[in-house]
Amino acid sequence: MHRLVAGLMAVGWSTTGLADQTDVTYRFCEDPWPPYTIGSIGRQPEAGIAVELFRELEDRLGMTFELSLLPWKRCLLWAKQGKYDGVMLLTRNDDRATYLEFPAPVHRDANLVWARSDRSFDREFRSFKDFQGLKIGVTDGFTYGEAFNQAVAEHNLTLDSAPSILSNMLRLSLGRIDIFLVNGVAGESALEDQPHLRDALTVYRGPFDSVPFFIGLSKASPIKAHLPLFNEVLTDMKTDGTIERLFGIQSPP
Amino acid sequence: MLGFLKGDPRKKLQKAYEDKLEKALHAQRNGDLRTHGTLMEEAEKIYAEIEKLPAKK
Repeated sequence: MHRLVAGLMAVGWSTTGLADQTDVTYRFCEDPWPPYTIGSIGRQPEAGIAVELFRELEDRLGMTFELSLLPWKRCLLWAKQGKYDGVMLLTRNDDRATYLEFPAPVHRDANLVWARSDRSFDREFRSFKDFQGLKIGVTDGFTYGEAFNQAVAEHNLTLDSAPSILSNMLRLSLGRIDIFLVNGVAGESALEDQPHLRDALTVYRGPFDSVPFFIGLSKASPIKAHLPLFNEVLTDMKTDGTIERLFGIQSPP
Repeated sequence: MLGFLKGDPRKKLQKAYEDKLEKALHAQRNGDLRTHGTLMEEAEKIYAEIEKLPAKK
């Protein structure tokens, strides 16, 4: 029964092959990724910055979007196969570029160095080498970029992982780790309901370059034909301040 | 096939881990080091269970 339902979902949800693209509902997926998407797997996202972005895009593009939260690998696979028309928000890499078109980036953010505010350091975190000798909190499943991965090997950096941003913030406050790496938007979001914890922590800019975040349009979906339209509308949204209103101040490239 | 629609054990354990850490932090701030140590030990056990689950991404 489950297989039948899944098959119907896969076929029925696909928009591939429809002639009139103006009347179709385009389906985008993401996994739960606060603050960008908030909710549970298998359901529509309840809220999130990326959800607001898509509501804005619906108005400006005159399209209808159906948004779903899926396990991450399934989301990528179904976008690759054209069962979904795209991915709501992701970073670009060579593999993803083989099956997704990337319009202009919607957001730039950099990982920052979080620490206890009552702790002082004899270094300014201008390079990854400055992390040497510290216990560095990282989050399971997060990627920190190739430059960081190389620095871990080159400088023998000590990583200590935990399953979530909030648990790392708590471990930081408990003194279990010396610093924690996460971008500003996600870090602040995790601390939204933890004002006392937020007050106990401070943030350093750190050595990370900012990373662009994109919407991914499936090359197996007719939506790819609308790439120029997405670019035009996203450029307008940057110019009129909508992107900054949604995502906050953008990190410089 | 639709197993992903069922409850997410990782999410439940993650929440339990965060709760333990939060209580441990509270105990530490109150100077109750015995409770702090117990809670940290319990938190580490939960994390060990999380690590046994298949990788998410």
